[in-house]
Amino acid sequence: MDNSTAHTGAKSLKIIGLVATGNALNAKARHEMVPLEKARIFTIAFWAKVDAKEAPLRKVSISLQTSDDLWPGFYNKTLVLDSIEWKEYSDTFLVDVNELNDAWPGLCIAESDIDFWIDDFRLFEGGTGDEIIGYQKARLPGIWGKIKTQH
Amino acid sequence: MVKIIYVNLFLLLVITSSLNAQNTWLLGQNRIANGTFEEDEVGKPPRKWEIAKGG
Repeated sequence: MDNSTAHTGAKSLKIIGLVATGNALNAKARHEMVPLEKARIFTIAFWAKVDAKEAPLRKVSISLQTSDDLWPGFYNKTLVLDSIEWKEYSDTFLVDVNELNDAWPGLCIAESDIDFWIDDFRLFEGGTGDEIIGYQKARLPGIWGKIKTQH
Repeated sequence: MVKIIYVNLFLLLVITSSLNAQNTWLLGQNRIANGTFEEDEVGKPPRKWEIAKGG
């Protein structure tokens, strides 16, 4: 964790590369397991910043895999981080596998050893415009009214 | 009796939605995973994240 720069708040996650293997899959920065449902659209979005002391471009791969034996990956998409200032990157995809309770969302990082920071990493249901910002605590009477009108 | 059924149905829906990503929109959010890192300690790995070897 690093507090020298952040997109939001005071802290961000700095990925420090020591050795590049040339294969992004050889190292991952991943979130703990989350549930996903099949045949639904999801979006991964995050802010990143490449360390200007190293290079202006840095490849990473968005990765989703399960914790089952052999850790099968079911989504992978390469992105090029191309800014030494904070910039948002996103990718929307269809989860076309059976229902999952143990998906690991994250970034594959071993293709390059160029350092970078990430912040505000989100995995949410829907496309880029569907994100509900923050946690808006629903009012129970409002939910109750919706339920009554639907039944 | 009808009110009791409605209340029970409502509670079931709320509990289900909190457990199931499909229905999180009902509670006003659709975020499944996040990394804002504000609760994590500087100099240490973030708590909900792992830097791992793989593939």
